[in-house]
Amino acid sequence: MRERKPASFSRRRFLKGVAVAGVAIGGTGILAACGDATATPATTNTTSAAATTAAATTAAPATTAAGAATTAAAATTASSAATTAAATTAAATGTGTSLKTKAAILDAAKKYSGSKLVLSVVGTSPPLKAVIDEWTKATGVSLETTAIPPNEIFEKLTLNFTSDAGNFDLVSVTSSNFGAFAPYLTDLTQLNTTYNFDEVQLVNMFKWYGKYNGGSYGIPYDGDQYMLFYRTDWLKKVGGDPANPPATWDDVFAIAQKMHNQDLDGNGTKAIGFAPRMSRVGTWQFFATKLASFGGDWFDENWQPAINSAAGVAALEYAAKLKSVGPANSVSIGFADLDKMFLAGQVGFIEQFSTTATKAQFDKTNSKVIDKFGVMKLPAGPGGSRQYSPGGVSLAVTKSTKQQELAYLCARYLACEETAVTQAVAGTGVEPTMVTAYNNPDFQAKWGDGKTSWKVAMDEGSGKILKQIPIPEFAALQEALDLKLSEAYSGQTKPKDALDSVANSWKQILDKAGYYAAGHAKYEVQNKS
Amino acid sequence: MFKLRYRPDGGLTGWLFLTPLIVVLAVLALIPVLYALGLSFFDYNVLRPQQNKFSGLANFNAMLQDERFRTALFNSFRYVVVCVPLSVVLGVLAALLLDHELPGMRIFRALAITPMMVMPLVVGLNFRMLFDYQDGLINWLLSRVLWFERVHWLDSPDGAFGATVIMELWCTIPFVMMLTLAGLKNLPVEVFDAAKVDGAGKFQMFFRLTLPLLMPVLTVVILLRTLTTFKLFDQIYSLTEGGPGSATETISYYAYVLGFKRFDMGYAALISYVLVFIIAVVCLVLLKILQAERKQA
Repeated sequence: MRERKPASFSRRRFLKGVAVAGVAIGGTGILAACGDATATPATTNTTSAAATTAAATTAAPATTAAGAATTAAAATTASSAATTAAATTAAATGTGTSLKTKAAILDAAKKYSGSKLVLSVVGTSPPLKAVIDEWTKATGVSLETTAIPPNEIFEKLTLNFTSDAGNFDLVSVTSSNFGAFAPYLTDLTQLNTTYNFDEVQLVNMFKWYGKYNGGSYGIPYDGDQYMLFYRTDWLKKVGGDPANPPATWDDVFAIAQKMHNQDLDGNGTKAIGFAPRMSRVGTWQFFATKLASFGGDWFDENWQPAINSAAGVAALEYAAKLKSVGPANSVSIGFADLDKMFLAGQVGFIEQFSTTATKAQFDKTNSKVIDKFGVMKLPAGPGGSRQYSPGGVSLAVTKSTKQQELAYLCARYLACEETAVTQAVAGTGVEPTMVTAYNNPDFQAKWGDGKTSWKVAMDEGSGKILKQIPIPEFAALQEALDLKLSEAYSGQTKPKDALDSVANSWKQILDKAGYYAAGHAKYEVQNKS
Repeated sequence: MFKLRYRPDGGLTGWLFLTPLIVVLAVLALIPVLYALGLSFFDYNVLRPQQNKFSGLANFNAMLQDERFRTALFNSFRYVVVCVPLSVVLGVLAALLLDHELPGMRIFRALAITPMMVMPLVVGLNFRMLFDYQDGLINWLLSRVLWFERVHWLDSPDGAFGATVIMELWCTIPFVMMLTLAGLKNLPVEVFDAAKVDGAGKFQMFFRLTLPLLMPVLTVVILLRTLTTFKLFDQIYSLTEGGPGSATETISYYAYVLGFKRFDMGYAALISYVLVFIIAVVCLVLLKILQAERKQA
């Protein structure tokens, strides 16, 4: 565990500060050239320990040596030393403290009563207030959350880390960004050993979360997976069997064609067969699900782009074909539009995160499809049934925090089975990552469609996957892919040309980063049978 | 007696008074500008600080071969060519309309400059809803009131370009109008009275008197509009995010992507410098042309 030196003048730190300030000023120059600053301000919400009732203080007995200390700083220092010692012992003996239940985690964090943690969260899915309040009440540790819009997380955290701002103890990190952020995060391997983090309990699809270069930098928190949503009543009307939904992408297209432009509800409104996500920002996810089932991969083992392989081109041709059974404005359909259209009962098929099922089934105010839809794992393509793992979110402890153990315990609390179930059934969009949560009867009844969603999630999550690659350049690769896919969907270029162009851009990006230098680690090919 | 007087020929006292301003300007403008210039000769990626190195003209070479840069450059010029003349013509017309002392005209003038007070990001989000293919007000008006076909505003390359132009005009016409109106208010009345006495018609007065007399103001307006249109970013960011494909990606947006999505600061700095260079050249040429026009007028 790296301790920060006390604040004293250091020439190295000073020069680093000057360099970072220079980059920031240079960046400001670029922004100035671009016009006004555009970043959406992050919102901050604090649940202070003081604000919670006196009962909270009572509930957090200051029984440990650290808790008895008068200042939080003293408590932190004392307990940090204790943690290091405990971790060392645990690592040596192979034993650790079990944190299997939420109560055990809260109990372990009580010794830090009076401290404060600052957590950055994904703006669209912050932890429930009740969850934060429970933590504060039980531990006496206040938790301040700063919400960052999802499409700005990478930029904001990069600038935060590289400028050495050090204002977060705990951060929500998209799993593909761990390569970029690993230098600024604590390797949790030792703490995981100390507190017996049981990775076996993770759903297979989420096991790569937080991992980079042999280190473990995050606690899987939000398990994302795409599912295929279909209208059971419409499927019946076009001659299908809701109990046996289409098993392949070709079947999906054939049925979507039958549904498209038909008045299936008898109210004069024409049905949309399939709503594709083709808006420029984030459309690569829509393509990746096809790439997975068409047997494609991102690279070959030497980091040569494989995106423009025959499988990649076929996947893009299929994705582009879905436009013909989509809404007239398919090319501008984004993530949020899909939910809106499906819940409004306008569309036969969508491919969306599992959260949508919870909204569609339990949101009585907005959903017109309650009991009228089914969920299934994404269909098989020419490459068989292979799912794409879109990343999700893990909680990571920053290197700069002085409260590493406390931050770790908080991450474990937020990601534990009980908290995960509470948040998932409330429709927050934060889905469990652990098998135990999916096996929880309460979860099974209240999550997704309340029927088979949990089974679909487990089935999908335990099979073969194509995962994102957590390298520092991933965001750049993704941006280059988004651009060309959007060009292909809007008819500005042909699928093959678009992917060839992506391959060229990717080569340039990786070449600049030194991936083709002798001795560079190989890419772990994912489409091996 | 000691006289505290600034002498432009190098008096020490004058320089002492100027020092605070020079320091502030140096810190806030000169150093970043020079730093960015230096950065453009480096392979400098924030995500891989250990690999940052001097790369000479490598970024420049990359730019020459960068198809995306060329597309963004073309798009920036396209916006300038379309938006600047339209906004100036429409802005001047609006100013002429509002240059009448009628009851309630002050309220109209105040309302007319409202777009300038709204943040471009907010404008963009609102226009995104207005241009929505299915539920947007504009397509509703086109299809239900005027019986036209719905337009693919945001999901076709031409539609997206048109949508951004309309939004840009909505944002900038009030600026042109306001400056022109101020210019109109300061025109010498006697000249117009004399022209009236001489029997000049309204069109003659506009083209022979108003327009030539307004040229100093219009020169500034055209230069500023050219400059801001080259920098077009906020509207693109909030309305189309450069899409569909690269249909609306401008140089500024591309520099933003390079700097804050890819964190390739060296290349982003170079692109920004190229933008500054282009703006400077275009503005100089424009200035020469407009000055010649003024002299002729």
